[in-house]
Amino acid sequence: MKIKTEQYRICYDRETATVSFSGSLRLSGPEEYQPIAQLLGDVADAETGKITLNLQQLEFLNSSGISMLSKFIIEVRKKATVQMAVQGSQSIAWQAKSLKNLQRLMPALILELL
Amino acid sequence: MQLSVCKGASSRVMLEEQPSREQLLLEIERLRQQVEDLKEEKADLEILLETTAEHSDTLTSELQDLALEAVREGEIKLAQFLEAIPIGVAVLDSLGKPYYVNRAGQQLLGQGIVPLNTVENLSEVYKIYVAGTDTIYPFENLPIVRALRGETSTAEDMEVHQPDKKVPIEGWGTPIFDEDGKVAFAIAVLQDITERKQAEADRHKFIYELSELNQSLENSLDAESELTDAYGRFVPHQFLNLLGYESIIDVNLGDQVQEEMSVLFADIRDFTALSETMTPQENFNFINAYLSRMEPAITSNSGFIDKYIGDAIMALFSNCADDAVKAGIAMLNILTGYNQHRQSVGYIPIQIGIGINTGSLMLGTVGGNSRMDSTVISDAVNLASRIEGLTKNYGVPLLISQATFERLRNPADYAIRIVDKVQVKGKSQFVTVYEVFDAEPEKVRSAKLENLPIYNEAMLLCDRKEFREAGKLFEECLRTNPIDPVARIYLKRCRDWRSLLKGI
Repeated sequence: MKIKTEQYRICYDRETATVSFSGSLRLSGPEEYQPIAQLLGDVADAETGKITLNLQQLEFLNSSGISMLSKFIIEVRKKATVQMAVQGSQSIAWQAKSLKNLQRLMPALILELL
Repeated sequence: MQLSVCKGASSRVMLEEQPSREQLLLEIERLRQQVEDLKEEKADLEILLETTAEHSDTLTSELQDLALEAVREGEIKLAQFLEAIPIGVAVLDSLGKPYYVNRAGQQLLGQGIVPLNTVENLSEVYKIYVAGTDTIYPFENLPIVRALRGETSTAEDMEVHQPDKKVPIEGWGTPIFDEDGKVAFAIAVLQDITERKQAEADRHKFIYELSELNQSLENSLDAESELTDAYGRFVPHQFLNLLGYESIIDVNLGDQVQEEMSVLFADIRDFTALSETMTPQENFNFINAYLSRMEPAITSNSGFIDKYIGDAIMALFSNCADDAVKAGIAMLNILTGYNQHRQSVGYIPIQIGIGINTGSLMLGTVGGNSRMDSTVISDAVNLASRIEGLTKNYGVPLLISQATFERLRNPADYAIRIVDKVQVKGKSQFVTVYEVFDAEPEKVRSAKLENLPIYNEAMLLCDRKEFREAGKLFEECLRTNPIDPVARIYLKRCRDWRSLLKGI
């Protein structure tokens, strides 16, 4: 499963159960993020172990994007059976701040800022 | 919905039967759980809201930082560009206060941004003067001040007086408008035009020198032309032209040319006796009055005067013999008028003799390095002179040589008769000499013409040494024309020859 445009790329690697984001996500509103939310939801339904979100290549994410990610985290937390890991980059300024808030939604979330 | 179902259920329970304690406890537990869920959901939403808001703030400030950085970088780059430009750039804000001066501008002006009370002091503060003067440049004419008024202009008559030097500058001013079309800044570009001014000055100097040179060249040419004109009165132009020159300056010693020409000699008869009665001044006045009258007769017949020898004229005619003969006739006609004038004012009339010969002449320049003259070398000149001398002997004014006679286009056009045969000096052959009497008074001329057949016959008889018969004919001539001096001379000769022959 993957979504690819000129601005961004979202890839799901089944073997590692990792969804990798890259580029710049600037879609407007939940409607436009729906396909991505759908992809993540499908992954969460399929996986039973640990899901990893690799955001290290994601240069930019707008507010609707972080909102979508947050909702996904809540969903995963509610499932309780699935573990969650998020990988970010130190060199991308917004990631250090905003990704920490994801831990507030899901204290068990493993956050790796590389 | 769950809750309302419960309510419905409980009311139904209440209507039918009192709920059990366990049921109530369960219900309470369920409600508590519901509240917990709602609380969690609320917390999630709050976190989500905060997360989103914080994220938004992060992005906003990040973007702003990025934007500021980009602007700053752009500004720094632009400033670097402006600083690196080798011409001065100065900017005034809309109020006329110095806002920016780049490095080259600071060098030109000798100072950078200076606090200024009013734009009116701009020229004074930056020591801008009207080029070449000590007059402060009118501030309102500065291109940068005109730019404040929205004009684009240039000026190259500005000069910045720095402590150690004066820098002529050219300035170009233009306004920068804001979105509303108002002048936001006035920008001026300044350039040191010392080199250009120097080049201009050099060019002006060069042009001046060139024109001076041209002027002196022109003067020299004028002088040469004047000299040539002046010289032309001493060395005739025709003489130079015959040598193939335009100007006397070109003539070299030893230049020569050989041509066939007619030589005319004219002399005032008994001038020596005449001159003794006059003062030197009177002598020259007279000669000049006479010569200036004769000159046109020669020049108007394509001749030129080679030289004056005292009262004598030597003239050359390079075209044809007719020119020389016509000139001689014209001179005699002029003399008739001149003599009438002389007599009317109480002077004695003068008589002249003219001799003409035609032959090959060598014209050239003679002399040394310091004294040079044009001259004619030829036997033809000597003969002309001798023929002129003969006029005195025969008492006639105009004699021509055989050579001249033979070259006349149509001798019948003239009143001509044979006068003598002379031996050329140093040569054995004889040359016939002819009298041209066109200029004689009408009476004399017609008498001579009338007698011409008898006269010619008499001359022929003389030639044959038949002096008796010849003398008779000369007598006849003299009967109709008693003042014919030639006939008289020949009559005397015939008689002398007869007596001589008798004696033998």
